[in-house]
Amino acid sequence: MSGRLLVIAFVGLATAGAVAFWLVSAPQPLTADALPSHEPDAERGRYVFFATGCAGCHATPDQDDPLHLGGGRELDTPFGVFRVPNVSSDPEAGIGEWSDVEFVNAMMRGVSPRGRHYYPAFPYTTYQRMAPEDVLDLKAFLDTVPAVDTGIGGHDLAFPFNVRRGVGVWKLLNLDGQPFEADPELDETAQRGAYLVEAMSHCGECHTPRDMLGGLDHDRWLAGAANPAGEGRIPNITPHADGIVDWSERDIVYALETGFTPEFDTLGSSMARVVSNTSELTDEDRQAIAAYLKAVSPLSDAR
Amino acid sequence: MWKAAIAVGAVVLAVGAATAATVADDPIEARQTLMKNVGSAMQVAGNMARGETEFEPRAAHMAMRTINSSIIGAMELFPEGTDSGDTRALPEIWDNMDDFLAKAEALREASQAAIDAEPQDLDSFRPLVADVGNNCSACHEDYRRPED
Repeated sequence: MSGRLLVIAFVGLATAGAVAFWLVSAPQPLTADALPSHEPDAERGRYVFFATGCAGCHATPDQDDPLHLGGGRELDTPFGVFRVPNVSSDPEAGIGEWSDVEFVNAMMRGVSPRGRHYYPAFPYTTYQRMAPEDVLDLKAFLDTVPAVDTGIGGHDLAFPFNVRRGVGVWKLLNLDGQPFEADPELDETAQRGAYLVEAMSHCGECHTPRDMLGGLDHDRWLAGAANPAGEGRIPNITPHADGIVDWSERDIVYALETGFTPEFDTLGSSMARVVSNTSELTDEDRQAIAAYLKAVSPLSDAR
Repeated sequence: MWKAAIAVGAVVLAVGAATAATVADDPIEARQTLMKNVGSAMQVAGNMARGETEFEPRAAHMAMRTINSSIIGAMELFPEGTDSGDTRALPEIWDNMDDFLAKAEALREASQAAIDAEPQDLDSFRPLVADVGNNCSACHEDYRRPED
């Protein structure tokens, strides 16, 4: 008798748990009326494209055109293999048919047009801070890039990471939906740099370590981290002896423009792709990033 | 004026000696010496391109010559089995040797173009250096391990 009660109680609890999981893990998309009225500017969007570094992942590997956005790069991570999707203007293989609000939801809420969660390998926790006008300009630009009709297969992830609804729970911890807010202590140049780094160029996604659940450890902002895609470490870029305190702002600007360190070694591996984006920015914006990097808290390499 | 040129010359001499001694028995050390040589030459060229030091045509020429001869030598120094030990060379080099050598060849050509152009002023030197630099990055992006 009490055995049967126990079973009923267990089933009841499990069901309640499943329902609770289903409710809290549900995607939270924005509706179209949340968008500002804005006349999108594709030319500005081109600039946003390089500032947000889209091509770094979405440009098809083994070719040189940053606007060949057929995807196909494979990110081999501890969670499994992510396959980077096609974001060209192709209506079938790419995102050419997407509406503005669908695109904003992908970028700022990590939700697909079909209402599914994207995995945070797509840095929407950064892009949630973007001005929606910038996102709409980017959409207008992406509508103009050449269509590529290559279909990309799904990810190969291990359990439990292959349960997409799990991302919904992760988002409760890591996606607050708040807009960018500049630190009033910073001057205007560094505030612009903060917007570029924190909302667009997503430097922190690699240069900041992650906690056990894969969220960024904001107490260790830009202090260097394990390489998410293999060996070695992503360097500390705070103004600390373990970081880049010896680099002048001019050194940072020059590195982001040309890919050369102050010792004239090249920035290699994935940073080479980042430089192919930052080299497209204006000198003022590279100076803004440098001013911001000089203003963040100096942190040691403690691991 | 001559300081930069002398600096490059000194590096070339040092490397010449080191390479002769180690090329037969330690290709890893030999190619690293050559790469450091490229780096030193790039420092001379890059500091002029950045406007940190004054442009000097003879120093520019020697820097490009150093890069050119070093990369020709380095192309011979990646035999099979030298992907482990004290090296940042990735195993992908030996899986894609044709592509690796094509990238090295592109750097050789870029440095040769900078030699042949005999730039006499900073404005003509700058794009040549940028082209050389891009070819450094192109190969390091795919074939060099990040630093620990």
